[in-house]
Formats: sequence, structure tokens, C-alpha cells
Amino acid sequence: MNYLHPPRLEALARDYAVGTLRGRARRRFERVLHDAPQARRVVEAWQQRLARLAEVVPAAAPREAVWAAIETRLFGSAAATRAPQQGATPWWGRWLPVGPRSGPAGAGLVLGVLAGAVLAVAALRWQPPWAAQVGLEAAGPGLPAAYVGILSDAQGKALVLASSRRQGRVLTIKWLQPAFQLPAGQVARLWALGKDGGPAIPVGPLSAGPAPGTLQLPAASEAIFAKVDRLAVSLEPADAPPPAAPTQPFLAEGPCAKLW
Amino acid sequence: MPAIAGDLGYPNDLTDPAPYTADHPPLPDRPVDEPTDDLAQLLSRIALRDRAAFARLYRLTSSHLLGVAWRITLRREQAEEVLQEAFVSVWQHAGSYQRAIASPMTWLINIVRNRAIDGLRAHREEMARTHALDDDAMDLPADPAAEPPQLLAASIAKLGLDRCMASLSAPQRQAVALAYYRGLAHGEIAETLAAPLGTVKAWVRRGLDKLKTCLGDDPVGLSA
Repeated sequence: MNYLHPPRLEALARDYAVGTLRGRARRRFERVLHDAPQARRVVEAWQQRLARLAEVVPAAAPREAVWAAIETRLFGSAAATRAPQQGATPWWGRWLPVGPRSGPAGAGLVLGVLAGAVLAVAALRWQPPWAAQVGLEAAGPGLPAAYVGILSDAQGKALVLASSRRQGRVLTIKWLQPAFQLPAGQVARLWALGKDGGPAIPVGPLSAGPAPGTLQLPAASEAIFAKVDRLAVSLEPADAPPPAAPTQPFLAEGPCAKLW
Repeated sequence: MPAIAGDLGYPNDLTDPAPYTADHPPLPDRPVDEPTDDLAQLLSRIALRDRAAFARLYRLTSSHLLGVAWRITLRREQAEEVLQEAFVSVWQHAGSYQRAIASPMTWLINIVRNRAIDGLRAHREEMARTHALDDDAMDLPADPAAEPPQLLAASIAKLGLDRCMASLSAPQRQAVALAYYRGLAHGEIAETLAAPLGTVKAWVRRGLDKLKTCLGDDPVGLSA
């Protein structure tokens, strides 16, 4: 078929631009566009016409987390550049009112907000156990996701926030209680607890401090956290080799969920 | 397209013949790194890896683009995913934007619509899976069936095409509106309007061809 025959090209460009050309026909026409500048011109003329119909579409402000996620994906750190409307607070800091200025009430609110968010995400993302086996696991092909975990201490106060990009190899750690200090001679180790209830998987040591720290992941976060629904921290002796399983009770534990 | 762009909260492109105001002095008088609201200029700075320009472009256009994406995905969450994908793509491909061919906003809308339409099938599979838990997730703040014809009517009025488009029937307008604003395929429009597929295809095509005639033969649309 000669795609460049003018009446046919005009019709295909129109259907492509409005979006009614679908599936394999759309992919085929995209290959034509790639190779044929004259076809691109016809499509662009249609797109320019149709864009005028978009002018009346009511605007809706995206949530803060969208910009932060864009920055994190492109630049690795949401805090590194000035966000469009907010200060340089990391994205989770904006919707989690935790920091030097908020006290226990803030932490309690955090817990509530995050628990709600986690439950909501868990509800949205719930899928039957067989889903992964039949290839449905890739929710939203090509779309990003982030893993977020919040770990609370025995008193129920949020202690650690962990987050990672979907395919990232870095886990960002934020200690939420500024006064918290690691006891001398001990190291905090992060564990991933699988949905299947299997043994805890060692993730790595967590440095403690007021500034967000990072932990290099042994594999892409998707590979580690896809089947994990809880994270935990235990304090292990600093002078012993990293244990394969926690030897101490958990200092903090909490849900881990995929955001988006 | 200067007369209408301002109403949307996104600024005009360089082709805007309107006089510059005190807030918008002529571009050549400005230092290169001074903030600008000119989308084409922002895109050329983004191509040079200017993150401040990128943040500014996002602030100026993201709300409008989210509105476009949301009408296709019907769900805010997925519209925001589309927006995120689109802006990642904008950063990566800003250098390929060609001012002479499309206005910056058209270029951005195309990226968003293509992403949203390409993601539709996967999204619908997921919606089908999560339906039981997720009944209230069709969170578009408007009736997804009734709104598109209203948007088309508003566009036609705004563009001054009422008389020219008068020969189109209500179903023809509705079919065009569902195709453009909702990103529906012919089959889905046929289902929505309970009309035969062939009829629906003809409605959409006839409506769009009429729109083209009414807008005049203005291949790049920049002089409109």
C-alpha cells in the first residue's frame, strides 16, 4: 500500500492525529512517519488544527508528587532543584509534615496519612496472587512507580521512611525522629519481608543522621521490592559480619507499597 | 492563536503578534538567563539542559496538559502518570522541537495525547482487574459522556466556526468530540453512541474534514 498517495495520506494523518488509528495500523503509520518527512508535515498540520480544540479543556493542577517524580527520574534527586511552586523540600516531605518543626503530633499525623496512603495504594494495586504468573505484574507498561516504606517503632511512632524509584538502585532513607541515635557498637540493618511470609531478605545497612541517607541496592528496586509488603530494621552488632537473618528484635517495622 | 491562549493560563508563543507588556519586554533586550514565559524559548533552553527552564515550562503548562490527559484516562492517577512520562520525554527530546512546524503547546499536547492514547489499552485492562475495589476511581470532575460535546461546542464558538460547522448533526459532533477529547477508538464510539461502526467512522471523518475546511487551509496553523 502506498501510504504517500495524497488522499490516503491525508486520511491516515487525520485518523492518526485524532487518535482513532489504533494498534498495528498506528504502529505501521508511525514507521512511515519516521521515514517520510512529507507524511510528518501532513500529520503536523492536523495536530496543529486539532490542538485548537484543546484550548477549552479545563485545567487541573497536578499534585506535587508528579513534579518530584519527574525530577527524581531525570536527575536522581527531587531535592536538587527548585520545585516549581515549593521550596527544596523532598517530595515526601511536602505531604508528610515531619521535620524539626513538627513534634509528636506531626509524627502521629504522618503515620495516619501514610497508613491511609499505603492502604489506598494497596487497595488500588491489589491483584490476585496468580497475576504475576500470567504476566499481569507489569502494571501500566512503561510507567514509573516508586516504592515507599514507613517503619514505626514499638510505640507506633514513625521512625524511618524509605523510598526508591521503580528501577532505581538507590534507596533513600530518612530518619523521622531527629533525636534518634544509633547505640554505639551497633548498626541498623534493613530487612525486606515478603508477601509470602518467607524469611527476611537482607537489604543493607542504614546510616543514621538528620539528612537523608542512601543505600545502594544489590539489584533494581523492582526486583527486590515487587513481592515485599513490609520492611523492618534491626540493630545488629557492628563488629560481626552481616547476618543472613535478623539476630535481634526489630527496632521498627512497617508497610512497603508501590506508589503509582 | 494568540487571542485564546491567554485564557488558558499558558502563554503565547513567539508568533504572538500582540504587543509586549511591561511584564514581557521584547526578548532580545533580556539577559539570556532571565526567567521567561515564552514556551518556545523555554524549550530551546531545555534542549541545552536548563533545569530552571524545565521547571518553568512545567509550571506554565502542566495544569492544562493534565486536563487534556485526564479526559482520556478518566483517572487522575493515570493522567498524572501520563504527564510524568510526557515531561520526561520533553526533557529528553526538547532539541527535536521545531518552532516552524508546531506551536510549543501543540507539540506538548501531542506528546501528552499520544502517551495517553498509547497507554489506554493497558489502563483499561488494569481498570477491569481493579474494578471491584476501584469503583469510584473514575474521578474525572465531569460526566465523561456529556462533557466532550460541550467542549467541542465551546471550541467551535470560540473559534468562530458556528456557521461553518452548522451542517454537522449532533451525533456527528458527538463522535468527533469523543474521538478527540476522550481519545476513543471508532469501536468505542460506536458502543457509546449505539450506532453502527461504519456510520461512526463516517461521522468522525466527515466532522474532522469539515473542521479542516472551516479552519481554512492553513497547513501549520501558526497564522491563525
